[in-house]
Amino acid sequence: MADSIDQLRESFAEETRDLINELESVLLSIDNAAVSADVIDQIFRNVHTIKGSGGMLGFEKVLAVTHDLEDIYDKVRSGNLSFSVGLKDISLETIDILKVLLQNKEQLGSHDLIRFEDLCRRIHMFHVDKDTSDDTSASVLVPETSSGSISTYYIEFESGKNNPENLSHPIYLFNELALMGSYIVFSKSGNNIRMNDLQEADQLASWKMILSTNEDIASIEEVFGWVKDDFNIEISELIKGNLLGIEEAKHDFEKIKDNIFKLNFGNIKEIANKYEEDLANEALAEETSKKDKVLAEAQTSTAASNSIKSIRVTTDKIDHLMNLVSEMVTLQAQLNLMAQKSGDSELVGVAEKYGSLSRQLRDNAFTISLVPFGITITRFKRMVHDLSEQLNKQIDFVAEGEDTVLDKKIIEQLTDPIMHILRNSVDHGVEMPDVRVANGKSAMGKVIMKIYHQSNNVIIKIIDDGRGIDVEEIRKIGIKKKLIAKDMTYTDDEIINLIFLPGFSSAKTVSNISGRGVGLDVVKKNISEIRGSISISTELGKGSVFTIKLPLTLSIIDGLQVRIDQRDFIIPLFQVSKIHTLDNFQKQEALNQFMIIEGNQVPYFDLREDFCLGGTAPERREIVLAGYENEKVALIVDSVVGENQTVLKPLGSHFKNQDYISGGTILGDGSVALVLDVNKIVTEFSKK
Amino acid sequence: MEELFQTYLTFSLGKENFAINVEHVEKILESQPVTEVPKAPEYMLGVFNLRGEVIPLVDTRIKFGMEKTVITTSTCILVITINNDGETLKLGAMVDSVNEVVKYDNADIISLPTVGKQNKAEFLHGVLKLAEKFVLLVNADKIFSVDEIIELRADNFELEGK
Repeated sequence: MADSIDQLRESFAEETRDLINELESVLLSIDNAAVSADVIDQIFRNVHTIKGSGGMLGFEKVLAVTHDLEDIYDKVRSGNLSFSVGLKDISLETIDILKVLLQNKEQLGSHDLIRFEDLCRRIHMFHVDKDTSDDTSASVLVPETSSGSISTYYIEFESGKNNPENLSHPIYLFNELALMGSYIVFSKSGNNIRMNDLQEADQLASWKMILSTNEDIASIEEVFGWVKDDFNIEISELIKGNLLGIEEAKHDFEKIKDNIFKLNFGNIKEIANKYEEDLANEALAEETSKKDKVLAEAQTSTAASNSIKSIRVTTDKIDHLMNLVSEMVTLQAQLNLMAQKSGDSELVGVAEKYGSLSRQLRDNAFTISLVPFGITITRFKRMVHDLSEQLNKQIDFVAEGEDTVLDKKIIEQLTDPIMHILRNSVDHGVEMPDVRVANGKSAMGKVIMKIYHQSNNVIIKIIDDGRGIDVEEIRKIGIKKKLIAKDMTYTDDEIINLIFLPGFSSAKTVSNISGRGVGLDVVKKNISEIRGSISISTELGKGSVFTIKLPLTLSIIDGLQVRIDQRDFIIPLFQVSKIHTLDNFQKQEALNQFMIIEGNQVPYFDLREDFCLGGTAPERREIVLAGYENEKVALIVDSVVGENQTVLKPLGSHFKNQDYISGGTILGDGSVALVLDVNKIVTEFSKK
Repeated sequence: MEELFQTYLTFSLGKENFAINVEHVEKILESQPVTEVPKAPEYMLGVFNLRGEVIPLVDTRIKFGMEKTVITTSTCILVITINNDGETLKLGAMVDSVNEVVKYDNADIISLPTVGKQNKAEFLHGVLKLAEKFVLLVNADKIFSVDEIIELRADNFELEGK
């Protein structure tokens, strides 16, 4: 019997923890939205459940602390009391105490006991003199956010003539743009190109495109991000609205396809303008339907909250599923090979269908291991809430895109860096209310965290409207710390990025400058460990934006398969920038581990030598130019096989000293290829 | 309470005979295509694909201080799991041949002197005498989790008198 009571208590504690977390996130969400009856109802129900089951199982203190709180919310619910900031704070305190109570099975230390008794008294007081503070009630109306409406853009892009063997393939750009909306592409040859023809057309280097999408120009530019140095790109907004949604407009563009390269932006704009009125009408109609949709959603949401949307599965099970799926994909590749060898067209057909199914299964299985980012957001909200209170600052913290999913392991490793950046934004970014008002800003500062997907990446932006970073200050400190030369000119970007250098931050500089840069090198290191990158943009007096770019998952990487002495290796594609042929000329120029590539001195690593693979190198070898932090390095390999999406598997602690290999992956023929860690290769093999 | 009988799998490396507790053994495979890991210790042969998992492979002969394995038709890979400070590791151990599964009475196990000129006792659970041959019972958790070569030969242990 004793056992079953203990079991009940255990499951009560677990259940209550969930309820408390839910309660906390609901309470924190009240910051920026009007308190609806639904929200109050939910709070009341949560408190009621905790109290009810707590009392039943003899959690006396849980009962005591929730009893009065329940009454208070009952009054708020029936309209006899209005929700106030004071009530919110006291509720949050209750949550903290409840967490301690559950953790320690109600055994409190003297310090916590005082806290507990004090809280009970204050809740009781609150309850007795009910109409405390009506004017601080948090009924703030949220402005309607205009969710990205569709616009039509005109994009011109032309490859630089100097690198015709550039690796980047327009098809990838188009694939990404295709995800954003609908488009028409024109190539110089005069044909408008469809997806399927692109393979043959990839040599064509000059394009014009009309794209209708609800993304903004910045997101389109980001698609071109990694090729922007190699291409001349121009993007301009043609017209608001979904121009390509109109059949006649599409038809018009078809007509001009033959001479589009003689036309300029103005000519195309003329065509677009013809449809201005149609588009305006459409926008109006859409607005109305959107409102209907919101209404309908509101009605269904109550029904949805009662059905089970998710189930809990242990990570072991998911890992096992992943292994089975990877194995299946490998087997499928073998099947494909055999089917083709046999020449039996029926068998080939089946193998292909099976292949496409197993790829879908793999993609699906991988999305299972992804979890919404939202689970950690409560912690961030709480931190911002507590810290701004402590500093007497007023901060409105908004998180957008909490549903964005990514690998659990990434989320775990992201919490610290994000905490750090947020703390910086609250502490040093956002000014005191009086300073803000004096500078013509609203007293309430704003910190926004945006999370969204962009192709195979997750982007996290942390935006504040604080004082920004003073580039001049950074420059001075950079010179003082000998991070930059006095007499050289640097771009503002280069200067700002100094704050990510290990030598930049120290206790002393914190007080000298705005304080930014405290340990940002650690943030950068943590993020690069999960194959992400961080950048910052800032405007003095207006605020700063930190942008973190991450892979969707740690276990799948896009790789470049290369061969050295009959062995296969994978280089992560995100680090690869170009592939060159190693000719004799470059070999002769090579000196002191440097070679001249495109007029630049680049350190090189002959992997055949560095890995002590022996054998004789073939006459014709290739160089993979890879990014190492902000530098480029050249890796010499025998040959490049091609691109490969791979499932990264750790090699385990037996190879802990070979950390320039980040893992293994299973190729189509069932053999294992090793995945290289470019950063570690550079540090390991530069020593000698 | 410790069980009175333990089940062991015996295997040979050259003339030497060893045994490993069957609890560790997950599978026995014939030799597999292996991918070498550059600059790894000599006894780490590389990694191989075990049904979608990437598993490290140890040349047990080198690991136990002998010449490296020459692969023959009787060469086998024991897929074993070991416990290293609470972490479970899976690895392949290449051996010259796998012999038999046997049950021993714990009382038959000759324990080793814990002092000696080259004390390797911690890597063994004990020694058995079977058909006038000594069989070393390896402590798989220990021996496969250290990064060294551990010389293990029956005549290293002054067993003749027992």
